[in-house]
Amino acid sequence: MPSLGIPSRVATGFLTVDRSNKNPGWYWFYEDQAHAWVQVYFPEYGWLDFDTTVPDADQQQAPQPDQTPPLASQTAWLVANGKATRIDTAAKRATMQVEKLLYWDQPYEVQPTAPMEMDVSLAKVLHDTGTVQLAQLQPGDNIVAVSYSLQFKELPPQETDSAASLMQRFPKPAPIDEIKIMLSEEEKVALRKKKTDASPTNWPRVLWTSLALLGILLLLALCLPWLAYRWLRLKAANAKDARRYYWQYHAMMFYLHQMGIERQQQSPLQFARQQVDARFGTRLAEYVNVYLKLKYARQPLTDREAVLANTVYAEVLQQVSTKLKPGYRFSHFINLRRSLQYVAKPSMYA
Amino acid sequence: MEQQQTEQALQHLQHLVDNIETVIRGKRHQIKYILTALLSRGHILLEDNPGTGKTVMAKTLAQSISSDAAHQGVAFKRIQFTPDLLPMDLIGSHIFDDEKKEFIFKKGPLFTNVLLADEINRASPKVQSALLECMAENQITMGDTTYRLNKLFFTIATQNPVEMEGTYPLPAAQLDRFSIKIIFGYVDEDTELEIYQNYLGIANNLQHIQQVLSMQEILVLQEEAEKVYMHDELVKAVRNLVWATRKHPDIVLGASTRSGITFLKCLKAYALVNGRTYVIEDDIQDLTLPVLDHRLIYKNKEARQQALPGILKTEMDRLHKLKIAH
Repeated sequence: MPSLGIPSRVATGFLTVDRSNKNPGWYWFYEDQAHAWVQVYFPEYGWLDFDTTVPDADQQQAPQPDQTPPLASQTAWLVANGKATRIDTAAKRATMQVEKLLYWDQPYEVQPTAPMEMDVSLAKVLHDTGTVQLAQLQPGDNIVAVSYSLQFKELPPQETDSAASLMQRFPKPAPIDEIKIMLSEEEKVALRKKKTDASPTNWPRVLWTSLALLGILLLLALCLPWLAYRWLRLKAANAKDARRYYWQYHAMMFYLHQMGIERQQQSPLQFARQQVDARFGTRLAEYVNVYLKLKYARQPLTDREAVLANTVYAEVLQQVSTKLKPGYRFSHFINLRRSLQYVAKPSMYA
Repeated sequence: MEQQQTEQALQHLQHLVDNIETVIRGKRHQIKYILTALLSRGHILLEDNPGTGKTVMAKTLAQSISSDAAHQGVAFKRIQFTPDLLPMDLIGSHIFDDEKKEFIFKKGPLFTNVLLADEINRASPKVQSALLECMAENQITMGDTTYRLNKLFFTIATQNPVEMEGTYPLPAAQLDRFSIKIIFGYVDEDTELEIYQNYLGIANNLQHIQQVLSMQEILVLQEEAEKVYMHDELVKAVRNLVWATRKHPDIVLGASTRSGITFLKCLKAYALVNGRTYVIEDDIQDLTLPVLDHRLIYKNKEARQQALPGILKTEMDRLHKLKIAH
């Protein structure tokens, strides 16, 4: 083609899978991916790749539809530049407005632009990044259609041929082997920019998201003691037999501890007598006695004791909460450290 | 029938405590310990300065328990130990009866129901051992004859704090004879004022103390005390405590197995005194020091004050964490 004044060159490289998004700047390649292909310069588009190597070894052996033996390398008889106008993915047909033509390595200007119908059933549609589906081709896209078909070989251009006359002689629809979707320079720049723009992190967004998350976590943490208390009470309400008293006992102890009334070194009975009953006028000591009976005596509770326990349980929680001011209660309920103490330091409760 | 008897006895026991309290104010806890020792068939040692009401206490106790002879308290004797006391002053001696022309054994003060042995650490070791042997064996052998002590034989011994001079402190092996050792102590300020305001009335109360409990009932209660239920975990706790005293670096002599058994007996009696038929963890907390402290030999003074409480605290923490068995 350089003989025709069209700049072309051979490029060598490796056919790698584009992993640049996963590992920016790094590419893997193997020696059998070594490749050479032709690049042709188009004034508005820059250097375009024309990979005329048949990719598949099998395909090399497969006979062509028109009975011609397969060739190792193929010649691009027709290269058409233009805009795609209509795509029919079902029938595998496409139409394009041809603006420029390169036929048998001879350039032709198509003025005015003429439509060309293409048979794209065997065509590979290429994009900047790689092979895509025919459906990706949109009307209005700038494309370059390439044909290696031998049908064109039978149609050498004549001296007198203009683009229009040539195109008239083309088989309709023209068998096309490759369609390259072109981006204009601006689109290319925009794409490159978009790629680079996509990578840096959106710092303000990150900041706000993490703050929001932190806020939610904090809120949850503050609610935890209250939730734990409600859970204990729920367990107490639902449990049967001796378990009930266990949960009742813990609900009361947890509540008292959360409200700042800690057991410290005393025994539960002493604690009940001295710190709770003395201060709130409750009967927690009686409850603890019943609880100790449950713990250490192999006797079931008498009815009187059972009734007493249930009554005192409700009584204690109610009386303590009424005696303490709501502000005090709130400020103590959000104290997560206390709840963790309750769990971590068993000597402080029971 | 038996159940009823037991319940009645328990009720009367509570009356006894109340009864004693009318005379001895502000010592409810000490009264409970004394009754615990009584019901566990043991003896009690009170360590205290003179004048805190020990004698009055013992007298009141004796008076509150009626003997078989109706409307009379059980026999009560008080011995003041002095350095020149002899064993025969305690046990009794043979006296030549002129009429019968033979030696008659005149029983000494030991043959009583409630014995108050005051200032036991002032007597010579010979006398101390005479007393303690009797307490252990419940009988006295004089010559060929063996005299049994009363079925209900309860000793309240007192001693002055060891710091005072001129004393023969009891060695640990003999202190072992006492189930419980407590400090009687002074009352608090308010109670002291009450006592001063009311001392005539108190003296009057002592005169007219009522018998609320019969000796038979005491014996029944002693039997009942053995039947009090003790949870496995609590028995384990006792075992742990005893072992801990043997392993502790600051304790030279730990508690013996006999102490452990005495501990169990006392726990059961204490539960009964508190009106329960089962032992609870607070009982262990209340009784560990009174029962075990005087049986141990410590390395130094600090150890005396800190070792056992430390062991107790660890064990109590463990007990407090126990869940109810379903």
